[in-house]
Amino acid sequence: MAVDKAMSILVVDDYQTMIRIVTNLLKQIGFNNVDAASDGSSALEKLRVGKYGLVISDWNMEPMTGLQLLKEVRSDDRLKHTPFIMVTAESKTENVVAAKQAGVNNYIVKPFNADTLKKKMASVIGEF
Amino acid sequence: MSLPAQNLAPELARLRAELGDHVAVGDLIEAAEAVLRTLEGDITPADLRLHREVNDLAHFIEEARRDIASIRPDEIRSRLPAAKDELDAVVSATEAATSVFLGVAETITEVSEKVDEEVAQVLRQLATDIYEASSFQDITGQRIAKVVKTMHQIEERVAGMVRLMEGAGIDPLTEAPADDDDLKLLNGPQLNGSGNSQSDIDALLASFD
Repeated sequence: MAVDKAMSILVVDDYQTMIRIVTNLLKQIGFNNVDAASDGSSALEKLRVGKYGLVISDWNMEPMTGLQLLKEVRSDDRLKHTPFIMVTAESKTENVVAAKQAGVNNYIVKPFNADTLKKKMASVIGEF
Repeated sequence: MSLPAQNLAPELARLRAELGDHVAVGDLIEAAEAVLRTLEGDITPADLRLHREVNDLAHFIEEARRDIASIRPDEIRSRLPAAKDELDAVVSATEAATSVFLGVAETITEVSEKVDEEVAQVLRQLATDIYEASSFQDITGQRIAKVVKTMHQIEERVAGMVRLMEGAGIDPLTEAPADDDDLKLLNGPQLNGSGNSQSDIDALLASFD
């Protein structure tokens, strides 16, 4: 099934510059419908009222981390199938394992390039 | 000389009654001297060795006390907040510069929509390069945050030394363990060779399939 490039993508990061970078990179590859949240709690609020085809989340945020957000998403009946990519500087094996066990679909380590973002998105939502 | 144990027991009991089980460094020296005073009568070579070792210990403690005083923990403590401010300023400055870079990249992207496709492709690639390079700011900020956290821990330990100098006694200052397992996973950016590369992570994720 073809990927709907008009789908909403939620970018979650406590660092506004990073939100701006990811949003621009997404626009470069054709995804213009990008929303943003600055931590897990506000992201969860948006996810519960909106409809998003993909979540791209940082890990290290307060008060709710990306991992906690992922666990909340996976335990919510309406949201549990939402594709979720972690984009983070946390690159230790224990982090990757914890994210995978919590149900992450893919994992991008910072700093990353546009090509990596595109490939990981394709592996999660399909080629575009 | 009387056997130390005979005179030592009542002397220790007296000291315990007077000072309790925990003594300040200064009192410890006094206590050591009090023990030495119990060594009376004929002195054997073994007694002399014991005397010398206790004496050396007392001197070592006194020197350590002088060394700690010479570190001037109060001065260190007063400088740490200024150092943290300097690091915050580094983050703010690089953040402002990054914002300018991103603005330039966004303008380039807008211009790319008004030119022919061949030029547009070049412009879009330039903008992408700027976006990718700008993510350094995020990593830099996280690294500096780790340094600031470490400085905060040093500040706590220095504060402990100050309390020690004031003779108030101190509990060992250890980093409070994170209660939440998730919080233990907040390690921040790793130095080259310490964390996993993207290809390592890809392989690790594939191992779950």
